Amino acid sequence: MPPTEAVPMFSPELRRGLGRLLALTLLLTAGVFIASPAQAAANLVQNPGLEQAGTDGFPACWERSGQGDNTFTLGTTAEARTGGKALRVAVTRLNNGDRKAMMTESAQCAPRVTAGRQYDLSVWYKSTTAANAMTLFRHDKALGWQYWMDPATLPATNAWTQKVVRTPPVPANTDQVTWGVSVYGVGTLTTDDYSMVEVSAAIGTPVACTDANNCIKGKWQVMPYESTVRGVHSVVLHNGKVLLVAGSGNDPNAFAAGTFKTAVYDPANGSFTNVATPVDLFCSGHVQLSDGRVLVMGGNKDYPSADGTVGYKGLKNSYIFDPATNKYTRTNDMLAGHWYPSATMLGNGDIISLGGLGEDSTGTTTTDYYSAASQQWLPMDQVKQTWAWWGLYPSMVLMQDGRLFYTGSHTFGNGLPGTGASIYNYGANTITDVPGLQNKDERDQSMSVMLPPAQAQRVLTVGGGNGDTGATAGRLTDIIDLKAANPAYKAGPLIPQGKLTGGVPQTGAQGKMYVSLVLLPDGTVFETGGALHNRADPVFEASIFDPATNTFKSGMATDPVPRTYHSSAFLLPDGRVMAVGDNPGNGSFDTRISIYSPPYLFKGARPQIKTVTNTNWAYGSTQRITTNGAITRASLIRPAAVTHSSDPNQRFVELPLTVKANNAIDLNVTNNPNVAPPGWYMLFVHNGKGIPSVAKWVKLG
Amino acid sequence: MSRWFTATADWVRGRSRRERIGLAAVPVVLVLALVGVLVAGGGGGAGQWLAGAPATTPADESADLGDAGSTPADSGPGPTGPTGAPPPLIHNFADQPAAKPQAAQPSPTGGVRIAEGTDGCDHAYGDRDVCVPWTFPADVTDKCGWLKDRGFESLQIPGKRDRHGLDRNGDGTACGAGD
Repeated sequence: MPPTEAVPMFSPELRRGLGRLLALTLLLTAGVFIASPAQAAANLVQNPGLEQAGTDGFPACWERSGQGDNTFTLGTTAEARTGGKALRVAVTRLNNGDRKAMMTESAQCAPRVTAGRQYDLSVWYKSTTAANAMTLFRHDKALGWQYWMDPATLPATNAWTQKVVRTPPVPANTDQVTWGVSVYGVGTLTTDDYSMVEVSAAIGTPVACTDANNCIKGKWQVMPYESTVRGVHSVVLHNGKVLLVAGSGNDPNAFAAGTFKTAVYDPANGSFTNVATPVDLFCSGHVQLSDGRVLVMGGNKDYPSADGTVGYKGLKNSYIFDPATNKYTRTNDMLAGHWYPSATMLGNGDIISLGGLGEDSTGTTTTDYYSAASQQWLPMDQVKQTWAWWGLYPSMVLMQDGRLFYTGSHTFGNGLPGTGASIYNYGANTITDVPGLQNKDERDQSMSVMLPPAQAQRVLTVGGGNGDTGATAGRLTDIIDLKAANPAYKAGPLIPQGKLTGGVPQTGAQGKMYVSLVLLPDGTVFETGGALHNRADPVFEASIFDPATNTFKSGMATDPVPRTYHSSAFLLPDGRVMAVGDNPGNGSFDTRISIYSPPYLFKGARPQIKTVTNTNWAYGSTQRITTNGAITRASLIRPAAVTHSSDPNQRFVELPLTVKANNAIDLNVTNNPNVAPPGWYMLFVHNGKGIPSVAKWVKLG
Repeated sequence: MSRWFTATADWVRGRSRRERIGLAAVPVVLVLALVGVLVAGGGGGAGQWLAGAPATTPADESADLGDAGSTPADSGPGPTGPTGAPPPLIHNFADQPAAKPQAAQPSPTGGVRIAEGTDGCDHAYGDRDVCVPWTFPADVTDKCGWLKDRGFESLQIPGKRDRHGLDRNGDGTACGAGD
């Protein structure tokens, strides 16, 4: 026999084949691990495909929800995207309210969350109506289940469509959330395959302070030039400039001479452009219209008589300032004179003006109503009148249902009779008291602001005194949640104390009046300026209020310029805060300009909004932007129109994110114009460190 | 490819039944281990459901600020609006079911009388832009001293009314020399 050739156990081909199979198995295994981060992709929704029935036949861990006067059916359908079941809500008649299926509000079923983290919510749906909105509730460890927000509106579609939206950072004290899709119009909505996944935390790069002190306190800079006019009234324009209206500027000699001033200040280059000013717009009201022009109403018809026995008199003139031409154009007159009027934009773009002194120096009880459609003040027979007296510069904040919340913040004297705060329903022509405002007769020259985000419907009122009684300004703050069935102010934290002239520390209950509150693009509120007494004793103190924790962070850098009566502070589009004015009792006026750079400007590189696909935004739409890196939050901030510690239109509107690849982001715009009245807004984004971008301007509505 | 595949297939066919089961078990065990980790979740809390479609993979949260360029990779539908503008979703918050609204008042014949001093100032002193307090703070005993500390100069009293007694020598000037 020929010798048998030695045959290796595995031929070269076999060794190569086995090796490749082994490599393939390992690669597949590793690939699955890499592609599926176990924690990030885990679906936190129980029974997300709705396939498992509960004891009542409805999907396990789901419940029927909704409210209002409507006719509906709500159950499962076999017309599923995957599996055999989907949820279907059919509303056949709707007077008001909504219907939805929600994840059950129970410890076992509601997705668990971690405060401060963000989550991507996803649902597949079909709908015959455009009236669909994701609705999100959160479980507060202390307060129980609370409405959180409606993060997205879902367009009608007859094909299965996926909607994904990212929650804002989960508020403190929240341990669970539930959500669903509300139908609030006649139509049929079918949903399936819900998902909720935690967003990977940002890679933790340490905050890079470019200046240790400024990183904590921020920094003020007093400009090397002064304002050419007395900036009693300040309006941020959508071209980034600032309208400074003085009129006579509380100078009777200028009034007698008919010298009335307005200037447009450009923070970019420090220039001032004088604007011809037709009458004494000192003590007027003002608000941006939806097209970006500024409606100015009322003003000063006359100063007090020489013997002091006759007070200021109000104009009923009204003008529109156009930033494109830097000119005022007169409108028709208001029904009555208004010296210190309110000016609040409604969801339809109309303006309501209340209060102030009339042409004869008596208190004006006439409601004036500016129609955006007809671009004029309406005649008496078209305006509903309560004939209520609202005081001077009453702070009237638009609520999500179109009513106005009178915060109790005003200028001069006591609060209104009753509780000092109320809800005014223009449509029903009724006023209803709201309880809880502390020391309501010492809120003269306090300031109120709708806290970020506007969707949360919470208002903060800070400080105040009483010039009539010579009261020393207090430290009180009050917070109200207008989502409650019976909203009532609750005491907030005391204003941090600062120093008086000469470095004397404040003591006891000493606070401040004529305080300024400025919404910042990181979702906090800057509190600055003010005085201990009416037109006297400036307080050098500044702090930052965090709506997430309801606390003040004290010890911010203080404006070296006193900012008492006739001062204002407001947000610039670059994220800084500008302060102007000071008119103490001796009649002098400080025309220096200060600009504050908040701590976030010293914490590292700023995110950038690279592109905004469309600058005309519709309600309920999604709007595409691109950024130069990851962001955590986006917002619209309405530009300031502030005077006398009053800017009731100031608001920060959350824009929940739908995050795409390559730093493309779709921003989900509220469907409710009462949450964000029409007009130009500053669009900001900020990153995980709270560092905001420079704003881009967009027009809503 | 065919040579190594054929060789591998022939080799597998040449194994005993027990050996073939053992070979197949290797990838099965790997896959089962992976599924186990996913289901267990690796953390506390309730188990997670796998049915249904997961959300779009979250975007990379890297803090790197590299330039993404101006064209999004997913051009998608671009800015989208609903088919027909959605109505506003208005919640029935703040209904105040127990509150009694104030009805409108009758049409007045005039405005509300405002007492003098409503702006906190006694304008009987000095020019009309000057604000001597209508009521001094409670702890003020030396009113002229208080005013002087705050930059006030002597003040004329054009109407001769001196509520605060600041013109003690009666020369028509408040807080002047001799006061």
